[in-house]
Amino acid sequence: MVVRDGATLYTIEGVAAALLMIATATIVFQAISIYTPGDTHIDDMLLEQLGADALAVMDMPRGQGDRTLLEEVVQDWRPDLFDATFSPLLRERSLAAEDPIQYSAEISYRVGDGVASVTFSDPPGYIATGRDPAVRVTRWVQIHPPPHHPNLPENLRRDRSQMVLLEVILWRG
Amino acid sequence: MVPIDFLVGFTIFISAFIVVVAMVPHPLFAVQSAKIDYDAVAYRTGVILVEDPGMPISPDFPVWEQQTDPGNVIRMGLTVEHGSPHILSPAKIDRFFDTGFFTYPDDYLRSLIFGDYPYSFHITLSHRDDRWSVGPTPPEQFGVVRRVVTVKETSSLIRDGYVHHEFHLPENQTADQRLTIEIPCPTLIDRSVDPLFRIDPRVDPLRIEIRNIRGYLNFTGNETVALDEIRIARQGITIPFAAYILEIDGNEVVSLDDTLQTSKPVSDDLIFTLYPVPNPLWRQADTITITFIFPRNPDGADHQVITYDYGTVFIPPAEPGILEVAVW
Repeated sequence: MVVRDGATLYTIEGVAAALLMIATATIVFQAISIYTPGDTHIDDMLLEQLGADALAVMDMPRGQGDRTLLEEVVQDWRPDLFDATFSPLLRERSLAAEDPIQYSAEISYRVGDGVASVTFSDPPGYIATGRDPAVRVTRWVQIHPPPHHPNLPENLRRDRSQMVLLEVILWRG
Repeated sequence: MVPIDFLVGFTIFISAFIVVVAMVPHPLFAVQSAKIDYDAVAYRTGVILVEDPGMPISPDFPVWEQQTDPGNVIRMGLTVEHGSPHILSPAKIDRFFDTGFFTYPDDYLRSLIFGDYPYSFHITLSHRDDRWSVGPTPPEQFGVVRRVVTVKETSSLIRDGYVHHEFHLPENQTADQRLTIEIPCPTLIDRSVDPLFRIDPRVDPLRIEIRNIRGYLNFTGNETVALDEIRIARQGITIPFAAYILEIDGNEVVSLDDTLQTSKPVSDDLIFTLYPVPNPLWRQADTITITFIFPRNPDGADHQVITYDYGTVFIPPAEPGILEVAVW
């Protein structure tokens, strides 16, 4: 009987080639995953922490028993004062040039069963490209009963104090 | 027909080869961008400085800035107390940036940066017009974190000759006057006061300022005002205490660890600052009194007592500052 094993060898070569390709693919895909997904968001986390820090420090009382700067800025509707204080806290750096952080602030509040919002501060001079990754920092601010500043929304409660949410969106432009 | 032992051997060889090659990425795990590591260390250091009050070696004594040996500081943090992030204590700031006391980089690596790797770092704090920094200028690549903070202000009790007239009494025709400032520690150490404005004689300096002293003490004509003696007492008993600074008319006449030895003339103003010390002679429940004795007076002379408490002192409004930590 003639032993014809050429085809078997071809089969084994095919199997070995398949295994080798699978091994290579495994190595390649494992090599990609060294940079874990969490690391890509460190820059975002630092930006969010910076914004939260700035709002927290602005929310400290000016004197014993006084209102905080944020309460004053919202109750008296002073977006200019907010910009003048908030912007340098975000931007000034001593070891590098000024940090190009842009922001836009909005106030949200409950109206009956729903939520309404109004723009608080939107410094001009920046054209958004749509590809700017942004982070959101928030702070609750208390608005005391009327008399209210004329620029405060009409549908805020008039009979008691109300908490509103000051929401600031930050991005590097 | 291929021999079965060849197939088995070949399968085992290929499986072992795949397992070994699959282990190749693991040694590469330690290879990472240095920038990520430095940013993480800088962030952790920023958290310790801005959100932690620090810890000395002995739990009896709650503040690390009054330790006399740098080795007794377990961890350096700058906040006034636990649970008050972003509010920094000025005494801790002064001690932290004192490179005569802590050596760069060893003391900071041991009690702030932690870890075995010998990082280099540069920490800077800017508040109002002051800038403190420790460490060399960083190179091109470094990890950095920026924190926004506020610094607690020093309280002062101000007596101004144009405003306060308690010495202007009709019977006050003699020049013998005594001014006593009472510092009631239990009233000041009140946990219901916001930590940003709380006054704690154990850790905060206390400042007494007298302005326009001739008008305040009701001096007329050409008599010169002279400060003869400063008496410091606890619960009425005089104690020897030297941790104060006295400035007269803008010049420091008595420095820390020194006492007023001779009578000094005062033409305009007087600033007395009492500093906290470790293991003071008073307890938390005592009232400290500081008596300024102008020309040596017999009994029955004019004597005014002012209390140093939250109703009488002036605390300047706090302002934000920026703390930056760079690690490489």
